[in-house]
Amino acid sequence: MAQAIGTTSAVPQATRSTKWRALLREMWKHRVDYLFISPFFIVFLVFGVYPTVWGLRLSLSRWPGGQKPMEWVGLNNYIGLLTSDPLLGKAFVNTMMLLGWILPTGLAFALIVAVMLNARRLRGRGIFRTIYFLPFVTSGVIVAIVFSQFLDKNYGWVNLLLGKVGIPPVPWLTEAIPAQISVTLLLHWMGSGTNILIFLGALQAIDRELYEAAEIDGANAVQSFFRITVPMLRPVLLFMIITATIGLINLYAQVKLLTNGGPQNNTYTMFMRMMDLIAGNRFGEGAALGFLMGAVILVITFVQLRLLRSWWTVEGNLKG
Amino acid sequence: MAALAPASPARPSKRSRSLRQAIGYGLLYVFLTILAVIFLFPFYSMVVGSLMSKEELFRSYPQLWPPNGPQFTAYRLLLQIATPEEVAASGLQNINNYNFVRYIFNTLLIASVAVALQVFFNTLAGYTFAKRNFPFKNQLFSVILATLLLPAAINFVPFYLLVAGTFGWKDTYWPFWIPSLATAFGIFLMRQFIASTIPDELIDSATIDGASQFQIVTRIVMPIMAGGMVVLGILTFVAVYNEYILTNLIISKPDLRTVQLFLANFKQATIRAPLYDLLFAGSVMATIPLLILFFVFQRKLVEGVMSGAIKG
Repeated sequence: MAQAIGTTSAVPQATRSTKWRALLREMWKHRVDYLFISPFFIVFLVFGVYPTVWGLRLSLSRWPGGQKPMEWVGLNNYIGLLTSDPLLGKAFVNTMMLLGWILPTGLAFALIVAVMLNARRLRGRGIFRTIYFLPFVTSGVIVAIVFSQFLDKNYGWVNLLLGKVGIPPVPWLTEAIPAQISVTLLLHWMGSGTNILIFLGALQAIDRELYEAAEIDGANAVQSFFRITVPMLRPVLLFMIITATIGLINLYAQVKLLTNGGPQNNTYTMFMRMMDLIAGNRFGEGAALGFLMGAVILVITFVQLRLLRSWWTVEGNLKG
Repeated sequence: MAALAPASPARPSKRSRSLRQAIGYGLLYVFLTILAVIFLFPFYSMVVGSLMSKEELFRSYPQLWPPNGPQFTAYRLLLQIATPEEVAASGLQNINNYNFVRYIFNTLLIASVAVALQVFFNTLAGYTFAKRNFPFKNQLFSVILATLLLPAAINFVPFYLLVAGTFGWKDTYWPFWIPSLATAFGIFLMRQFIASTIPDELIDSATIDGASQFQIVTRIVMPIMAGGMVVLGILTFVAVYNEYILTNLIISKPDLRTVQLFLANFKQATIRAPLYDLLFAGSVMATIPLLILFFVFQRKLVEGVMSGAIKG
């Protein structure tokens, strides 16, 4: 009897261990494959996972760096940032305003230009596309240098041209609203080309027959734009909204060099706050701000994905 | 509006329809051309500004052409080939701090090593995910894709402390090379390219002929995938060449500065117009390598940006 029980329990054990052994043998056989993909996982563990985990502890501590000990402060860094930081609230509002401005205007502009470039008998499409895409290769640093001269109140091109039509000089970089508009213009100039390119690629992938069928059914240009073009572009649009959001929350170099966050911190960004905390050796708070920014991105992305759930696939759009 | 629709919906007589189309296309060209001017103008004004003397910039900056003809003093100063008189007239304290050749050399060094590493390791991994089967392959690939969604801001501070403190990589170029040796985007891109261009039979027959995995990658996959590797290489080059935030934290020795760091420091130290001739000349010279790359590999770049968006 005892032996019988012993054998019944021994059988699955044996198969399980042979299964494991077979899996291990299979994995050993593919050791070269694992070797080939290992660089990513090694650097990800060392430079991605480890700093994140350690950063969590850091964000709960006060640490000025160097040999000094880490002092546990619980959630104080987070509480301090959220309640009594003099600049973070402003930075958050600025970023949200930029998002509210840039996403709709930038995407609408890029879509309109892409639709124009997609006009069937347009010549020189390649040339226009190249020119609009050119800013892609310029750095944020250089764009900020050029724009700061461009928008200079007394010496800039923009005010010179406005003066020709009788508009008095606008303080583009030294007053709140104009400075925010300046940042918006700069980002549009830098980013539109890529968006136009992506839209154009997606437009060219739309089957022309869809439009011909709509035409036969008596649809006009506006109708086919909203009933065919826009729904077909939704997955691409969703991708662009999400990447643009992440990009704007990480915004730093361009604004740092164009307005340095001013005037009166009206173009100060969250990433600027992070760099200032690093410069002040306030690493615990800097780490905490990193997690807060991650949370902001996560929440916004989640909301966008929920709101735009029906946009995920093309099929769902055309039916709906 | 008629011109904008891929299929013209107009019903009326053929003549009025074609007339409307002609007007529509005319307006279209006008609009697209104005837009092209707006996109090109900052480049143009940067070039004109760099060819003006600092007095001209100070007195009458917005010019369509340098009032006294192009002057190359700013370029000569940055390239360290200016005459002693020009150096004296420039008002620069120490001309060695404006050694542009060194900064562009540093930048090209950082970018080319980064490109070589990323292209090699991402192709290796991309091939493995595209053409090989092994336990946990799909799970591991999902992990890679998931990391694409992690915003860099999350661990930026501890990453900086790790690299600059623990590893002691302050004032070295390792932070631009090692942590991004292999990237999620690069692996994803190369996997897409390899899966769609290299037939399985080719790899099977090479395996039967006794080629090792490494030989298959270097002798068969890489030569065929040269185009895809160029796409990844250019996107990497542009990103690393233009990098500023990490550089700003890591590099403090003047001799190790990159072009972007030099220009940014210079811009922040320049309060008013007088030194803008140098700033513009530096910007023009810093943009030239990328412009050359852009025009030579334009198709590849477009392909890279679009495949990142549409397949992603």
